[in-house]
Amino acid sequence: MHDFKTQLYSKQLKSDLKLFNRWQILIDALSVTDNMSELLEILQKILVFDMHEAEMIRLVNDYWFPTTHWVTVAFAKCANVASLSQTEIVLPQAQKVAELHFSEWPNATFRFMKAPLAAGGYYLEETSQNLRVLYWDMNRKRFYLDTQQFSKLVQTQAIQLAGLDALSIFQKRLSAIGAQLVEEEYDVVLPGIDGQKQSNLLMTEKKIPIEILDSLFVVAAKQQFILKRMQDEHNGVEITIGDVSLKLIQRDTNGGYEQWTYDIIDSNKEVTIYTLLQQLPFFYHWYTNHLKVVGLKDKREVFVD
Amino acid sequence: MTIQDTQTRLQPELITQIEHKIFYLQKLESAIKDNRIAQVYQLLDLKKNHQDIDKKDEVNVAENLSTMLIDIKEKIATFLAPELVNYFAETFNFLTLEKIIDDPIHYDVYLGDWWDHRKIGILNVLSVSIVINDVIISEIIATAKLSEGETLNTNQIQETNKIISGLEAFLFDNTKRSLELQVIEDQLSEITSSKSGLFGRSDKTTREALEKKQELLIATQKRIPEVQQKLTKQKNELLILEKDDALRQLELQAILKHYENVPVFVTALNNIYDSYVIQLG
Repeated sequence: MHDFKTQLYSKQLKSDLKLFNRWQILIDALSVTDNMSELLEILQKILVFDMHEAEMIRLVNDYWFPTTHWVTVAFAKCANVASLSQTEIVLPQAQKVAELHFSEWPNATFRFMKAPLAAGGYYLEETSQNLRVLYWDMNRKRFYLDTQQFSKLVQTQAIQLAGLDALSIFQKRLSAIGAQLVEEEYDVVLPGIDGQKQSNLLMTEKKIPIEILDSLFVVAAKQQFILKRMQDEHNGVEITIGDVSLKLIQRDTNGGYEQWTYDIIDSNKEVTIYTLLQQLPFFYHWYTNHLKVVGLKDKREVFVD
Repeated sequence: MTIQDTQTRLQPELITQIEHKIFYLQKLESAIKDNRIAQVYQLLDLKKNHQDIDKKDEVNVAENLSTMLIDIKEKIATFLAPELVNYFAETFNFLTLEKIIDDPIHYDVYLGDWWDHRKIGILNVLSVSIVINDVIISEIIATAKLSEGETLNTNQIQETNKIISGLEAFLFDNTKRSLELQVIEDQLSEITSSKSGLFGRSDKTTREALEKKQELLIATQKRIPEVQQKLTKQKNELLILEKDDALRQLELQAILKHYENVPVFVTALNNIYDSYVIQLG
């Protein structure tokens, strides 16, 4: 038996209320902010917020959400600001993490998952096939595209059905978010999604074995496309698809070694390598068959399965 | 007969021969100076211009004369090449000429501008002739005779694909084999732990049967690296077969876009000297 001290009880209650007041202020701020740096600051505070500091007051489980949920909510705000195409947050029945619906892709759903990395961070992934789109690390300010899984995502039925415009809208959305994060001093690496930057896209390996080019030649020829030797000063090959050219170029780098790259030439600056991966099955199959060599170089180290 | 007598007898013939050479070189000099390319070719190889030559002897003379140019042949080729290369590009726009390093007289002739296009011959700038790769031409002719959808390697490709499917199925079954092996190992350890008290003789029979199966599965699993190697080899062979077919199809398409059939195209290549010199005027 020990003494019941009403004053102590009141003090703890006050402390818990203060804690929940801070929580309410954060959630409110998250809901109203339109400013990226403010949003990032709020999100970081939410992610480190420890509700278990409260000793007496407890949230009913229905109202408690994991960090991935709040990351999803914050990302939805970024995504909405970055595009005219709507982003909706949906909380599926009996689930703890909200899902994202980008209106350009009505048949696909996305969610955030914790990355199994010591550095932390979160993966945005498509829910039906668990294909990752990107990695977002708020602490170390990193925002990277998973080029390998994104290339597979664009070939899935849900994304195929939505068509080229939808892919273009989504890529522009990601590019716009990336541009905003760059201003917040993030390291942003989103290879190949910007229609304006389709030159000198690095392949994973510096060198391509001849057999890989042979196989591109064969699969293209089967679809009546011709892999041609480049006629200009570059060493490389190209395929013309209507008004668009896909070029694979072996470039000399400053480091004195050679590096294979992709260039997509489109006078409208709309077509990206992912557009071609979506529209040309032969190119997609060749690309995924030799992904470790010809896949776009990305920040592979953060993408762990 | 004195030495002087002999010299006097030989002098006119020798002088005539020297005059021939001087005359030949003067004509060549003048033709080059005035950019009369057709005449340069006539002087380089009169055999091909019988209409301009009345006597057979003169052809031989000219042949001998042109040997005088041996040490400047490469320079003459460099002089003549641009015009011929232009003509070639216009007349055979689906063929590609490539310079041979340190050999201005010859150019490699490739069919098409695609990846790994094949060399179908060598062009000699001085003789305006092409040595054609008969093997490639006969392959293209054979391809032209095939029905639609068929290729020279169709049968081999089918065979190779069958082998690949078999090897892939073997590798695919490996997961099943691993599971089966695991089950056998579990069963064996169960028998061991039961200390043969319960089933007596039947335990021994079961154990032997399981061990036999286990041995067989392990032996099969040991073949995996070898099978993987075979698969890679077969896939490489398939690629070569398909690539050869693809090249031949493209070559045939390119030829038929410009000529009625392959032999007509070959004739055009063989007649390049005549067609070139005629258009030079």
